[in-house]
Amino acid sequence: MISTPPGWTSVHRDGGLVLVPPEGAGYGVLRYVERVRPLAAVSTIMATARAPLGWREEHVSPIERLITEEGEYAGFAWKTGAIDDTPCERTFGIVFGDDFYARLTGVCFKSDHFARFRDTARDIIRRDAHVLGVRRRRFVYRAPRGWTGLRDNVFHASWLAPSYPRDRSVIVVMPAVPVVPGLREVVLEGVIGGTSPEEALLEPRAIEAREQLAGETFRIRGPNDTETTLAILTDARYFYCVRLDTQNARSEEARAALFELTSTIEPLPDRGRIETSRSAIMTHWVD
Amino acid sequence: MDLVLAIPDRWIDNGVSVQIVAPQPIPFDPRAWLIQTLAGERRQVAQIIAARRLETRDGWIFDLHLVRVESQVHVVAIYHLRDHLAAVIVSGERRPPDLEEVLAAARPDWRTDDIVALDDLWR
Repeated sequence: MISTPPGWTSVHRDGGLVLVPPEGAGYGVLRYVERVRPLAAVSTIMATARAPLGWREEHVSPIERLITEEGEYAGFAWKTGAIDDTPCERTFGIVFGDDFYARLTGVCFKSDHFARFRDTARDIIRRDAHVLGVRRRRFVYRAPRGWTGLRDNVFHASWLAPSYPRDRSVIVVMPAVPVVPGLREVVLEGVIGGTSPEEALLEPRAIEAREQLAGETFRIRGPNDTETTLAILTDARYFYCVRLDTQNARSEEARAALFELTSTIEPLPDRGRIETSRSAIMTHWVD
Repeated sequence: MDLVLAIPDRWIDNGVSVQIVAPQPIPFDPRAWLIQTLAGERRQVAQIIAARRLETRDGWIFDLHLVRVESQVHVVAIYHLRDHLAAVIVSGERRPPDLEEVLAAARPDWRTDDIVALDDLWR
């Protein structure tokens, strides 16, 4: 849900919102649509967006990584080019939900106003409100090098060891969940099963993590020479859990990959100035 | 996700046909799925004559079945790819001598358009 910038006009069209600047549609236009599925990368969205008739592309900007005022992940980029020899700029702003995205696409026809138009679009994206709140949520980390990633469902991802299935090591990255007292114990109990913690647990140890995050790893003996390592990290609001299942013979190498991953976990962004987002929730409906 | 299998030209030249059934979530009854894949609704005309378990070069388990459907005998390899099954159905008058070797070279291709790590969103 976006708010119409001061002086701009907005109209609902084709399931989305069309925004026209004070100077009129000859200056440029923005289109906003939300709840687009499936989730896709910024470059894919840019590549598949319909280009204006006669569009000739000249330059593509790097992709900016943004956080909205609600603390949602977003991306922003633009393409410069021409339509019938008139310089134009196309803008792309994306706000990512769990399994959908909201997309703001625009085109500006006045080269001396490209930067201002772009800034307006970027500002709209930053203020875009979805009211998703604190929830079960995926987080950003760097994938272990050489491991094969599979998305199990909306929230979970599995990473298979480079020589899987000869090496049956699998890292499962679970979604972050809001901190609840006693959650760590429940998770550990679930992995240990009926075995007593003294028999099953090996050397819990502190884990290296980014600022604001702190945590421990727990190694747990399993049947048939297998073991599980749980990495559990928390910040003030969220609980992050990554699980490695491996065979004893491979455990050292696999744990190195697990630690490589956990050291790159980024804490989920916090909500910013919620007052501004609050205005975005309703304005385009009551205008 | 796909199953990658290099089919030798000599197989085609010798009248061998190969059908690859793309990976899909493991069915409740894999044998029933196999029969249905081969015989459709006429399940009673298909019969598994023999089966044995083998391993691909990379270590994936696959079950090799000989299945008679009316007068024809098919070789069906069912690959166990974590929570998916894929199949290769080899049919023809004569069974290729390098059948097992070729089937053992099959491998899954996990490439996907899914966003596996959120980092991918900004690529």
